[in-house]
Amino acid sequence: MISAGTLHAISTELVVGMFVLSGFCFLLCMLDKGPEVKANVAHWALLGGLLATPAAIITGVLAAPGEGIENPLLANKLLLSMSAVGLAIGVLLRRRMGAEVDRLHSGMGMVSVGLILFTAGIGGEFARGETLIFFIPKETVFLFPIWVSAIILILGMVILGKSAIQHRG
Amino acid sequence: MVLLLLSSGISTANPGGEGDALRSMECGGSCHGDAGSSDISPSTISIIVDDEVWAGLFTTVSVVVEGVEPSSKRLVGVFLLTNENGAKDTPAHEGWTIVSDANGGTNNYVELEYPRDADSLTFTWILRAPDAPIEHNLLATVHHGSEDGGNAFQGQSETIVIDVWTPPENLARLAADWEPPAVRDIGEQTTISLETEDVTSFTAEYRIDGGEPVSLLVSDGSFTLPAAVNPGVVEWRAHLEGDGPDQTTVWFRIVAAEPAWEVDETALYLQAFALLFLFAGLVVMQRPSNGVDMKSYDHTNQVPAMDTVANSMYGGAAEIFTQPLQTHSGPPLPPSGLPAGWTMEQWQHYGQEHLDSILREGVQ
Repeated sequence: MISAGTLHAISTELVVGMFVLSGFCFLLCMLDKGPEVKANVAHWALLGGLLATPAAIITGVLAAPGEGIENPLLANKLLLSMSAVGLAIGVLLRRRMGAEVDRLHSGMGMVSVGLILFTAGIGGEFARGETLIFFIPKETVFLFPIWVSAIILILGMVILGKSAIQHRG
Repeated sequence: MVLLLLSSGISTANPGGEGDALRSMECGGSCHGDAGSSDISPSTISIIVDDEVWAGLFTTVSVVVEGVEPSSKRLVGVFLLTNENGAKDTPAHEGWTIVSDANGGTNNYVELEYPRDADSLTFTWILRAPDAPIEHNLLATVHHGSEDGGNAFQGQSETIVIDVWTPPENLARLAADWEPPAVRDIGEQTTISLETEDVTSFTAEYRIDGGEPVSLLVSDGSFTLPAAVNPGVVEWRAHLEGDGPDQTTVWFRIVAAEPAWEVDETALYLQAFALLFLFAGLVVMQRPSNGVDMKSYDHTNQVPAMDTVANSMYGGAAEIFTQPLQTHSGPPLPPSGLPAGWTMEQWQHYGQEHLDSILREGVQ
């Protein structure tokens, strides 16, 4: 039997490791340096990190003390990680649609990786009270009204759907 | 990231602490217990227990730590343990029940902030003693960092022996299954109803910061503690009277804390998914700059039929690949092409005759 905390540590290291590898390869793509395989490694590592993310989220929720989200750090962690996942999915879909790995594409991949690292930094602050990222919001959460979130959700779905249709056309 | 890593000092301690928890010493020993990465704390640790400890009843255990030079975050952690083995050493392993710790929880490892102007720091536990009236051991270990942020420090108290006695049969006491409240929110009064055994009447009093006790009005077996204005601890106790020996309970502690942070989780989860779809959509919306969907392994556009540049020598790919192939019924053209001034139509009709005449001239 392994505790949720240990499983969370394992899955988090998997996610962060893969995302960091991906971010490094995206950096090489942006600088146009390094081996030819860098673009492929960047995207496959991003996909690997993305697949491991749900396990990290679930074990994190199980390992957190108390019931539900009782800390602003946890709320910010959730928002940042979901934003990072969205960016990563977008980058992979865009590549799938045939986009070249130019500076814009690499930059978006690196932003996704940066958000995941930011999320991991918040985890350090929450679990151990210390992190390298000293400027993380500890008591502030930017929470939209439900109707705003609903509009954004619909907007995002419409954009995704429209892009998919344009691609097939 | 490299800049952040280089700008940070390295400490073998955990300056941010590990958080209160119910844990064995081996958990603390995994980092602070390693002789290679920690030093012996210069602090003095003493354990204070009540004079009489009755089996199954409440008692107070205080650990006083003096002479600590903690890290800049000034966190000091203390374990309350029953042996030095490092495992199976929590009070629960010997039958003790932690009713409340210094922070209002029920943990044997507790962290407190060491005040800058204080000479000592006291960690207080309210325990329910084991049912077995025998001798029990208790000890404490302290863990903290250092001012320069270097090594971790660990210190250990002497092991004390506590005699747990069988209480008198008709001793006025609190009910065996009654548990005192340990935490409350700031600005909130607390009404406590005592459940007792062999008690005919009781009085109650409270105090703040070890000050003079203030009597409380008891009505129908209940009394109300005034609301706390600031975070802190209020202590209260009761004098129980009955047909048998009277008893004054321990000073129970109730910690006042800021109300827990709350959030509309529906709104939070909805926003999280909204951000996911929005960012994914925004990224996908950035179409490839050349406007052509092309994969690195898709060479469909490079076949001659689509290559208007490479086939331009034939008059343009679009025409040459859409027109039917030109055929003629005359003889094959010589390597030098049509004779000067001839048309293809003339060649079809008189070409063979022209070739024959050339052949005859060559023979003669």
